[in-house]
Amino acid sequence: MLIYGYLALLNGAALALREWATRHGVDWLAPRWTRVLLALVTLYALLVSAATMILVDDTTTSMLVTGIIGLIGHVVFYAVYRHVLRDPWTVSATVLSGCLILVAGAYRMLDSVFGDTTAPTWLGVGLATLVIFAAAMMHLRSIARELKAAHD
Amino acid sequence: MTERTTMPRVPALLDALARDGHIPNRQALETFVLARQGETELPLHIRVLVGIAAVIACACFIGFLWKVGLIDFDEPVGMLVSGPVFVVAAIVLNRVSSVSPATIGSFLIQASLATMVTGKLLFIMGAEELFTTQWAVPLSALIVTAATYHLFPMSVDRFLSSFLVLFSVTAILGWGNETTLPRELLMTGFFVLQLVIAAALLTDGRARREYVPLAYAIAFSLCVIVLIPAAYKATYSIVVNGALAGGLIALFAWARGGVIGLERPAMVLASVGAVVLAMFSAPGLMLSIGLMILGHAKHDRRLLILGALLLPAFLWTYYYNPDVSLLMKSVILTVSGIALLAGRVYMSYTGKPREA
Repeated sequence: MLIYGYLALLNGAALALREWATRHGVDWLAPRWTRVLLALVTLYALLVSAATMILVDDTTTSMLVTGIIGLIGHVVFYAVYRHVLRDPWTVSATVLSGCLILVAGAYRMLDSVFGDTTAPTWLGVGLATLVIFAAAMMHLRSIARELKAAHD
Repeated sequence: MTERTTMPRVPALLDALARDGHIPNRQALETFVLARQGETELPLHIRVLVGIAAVIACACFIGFLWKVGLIDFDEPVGMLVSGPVFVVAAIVLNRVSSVSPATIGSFLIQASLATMVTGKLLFIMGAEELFTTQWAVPLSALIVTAATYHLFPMSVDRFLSSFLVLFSVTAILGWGNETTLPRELLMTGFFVLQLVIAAALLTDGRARREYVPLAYAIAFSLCVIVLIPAAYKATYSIVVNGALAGGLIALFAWARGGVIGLERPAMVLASVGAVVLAMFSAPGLMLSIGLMILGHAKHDRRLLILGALLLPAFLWTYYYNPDVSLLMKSVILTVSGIALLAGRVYMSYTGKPREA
């Protein structure tokens, strides 16, 4: 599992370098897709790390370390792209990834209460998914105008 | 090029036209534009969020219904009946969401899409179990898609349902049982038909906005066919490549405002390039270029992204599929890169990027 931690750090470092270079006048890195691409691959590694820590029964030390890196990474991503660099697409991707982690958490909780693949677990995870994503949707809509104005 | 220069806002455009005296009645024109705009859509990134939530929730609800015994995979009639019930419930939820406060509305939008996907899947699974023909899936998907297309105005659902119909046909033609007509003839005909419909929907200004998700689904389906080796090998490749090259040259003419535009040296060069790509049997490259041209011309970021993603995806599959040596594959990729760089140098030299 440490590989996902390394991947997150490697791609995150590339993303940080991209942001630094763009701010220092490197034009060829300025197109937005370069940020989105690096952000997506970094978030993927962070998501797998965090979700694995939540879903696996007997977590090893490496799972725990990369899982915590995954959770912290999401917070850092959200804070930076919501308040500092203000990019709606990257914030959305971070929120989507965060929602998937929360759904994994909901499954883990219901699974421990009702048992694996029981009817209440299926129903509970389905409803939790709707509630989590509806809250995310509301949040993104509420900040969309502000982020778009800042980005434009 | 910044987003501001490529994405003109309609009110600003109308203001500018009215200010210069090009439109006598700005208000009437705005009303007309709003009427053609159709329903208010969510931003694309939120639609992605809604779509993913619907798929997860739908899987959970089907699991729940199966566990409590409300659906039984050995009782297809039950699924055929319960499917439309879910579809009706989804339509009602969607109607209610549009008049609900934002908090409840967001939840109802998610719930309506999840319910709709559940209902459609139940109907399709029921039909697949009940009828023995391999065409049960595409036919039932077509029926349920056509029935709900105008009643359920969510573009995510329209896109997913339309793509399911097209992909199920592709799967049957590519991997299904033998039919009376040759497989290659059917697959090639299906590809060309999709190309023609996509071209009509994406280039004809009279095409209604509600058919845009259908156009995207067809474009995505075409990408899938050229990307999946088994599907592409089930076509007459010479016809597919010819159709794509012809379509690309027609697209050049459309983008330049008519056939007369093809007489320009750059267009002649681009047309020759399209023919060369067809001769090299590179359908993914032609489709990718076509999608990016369409996306740029229509200021449509989704087509641009699809075209841009298809290019590396096709090169990746192309690299692994031809039965040639690694050295030859490397040479092909290197020559492709040199050709693209040469094109960029040519455009920089002649100032074409600034013209665009």
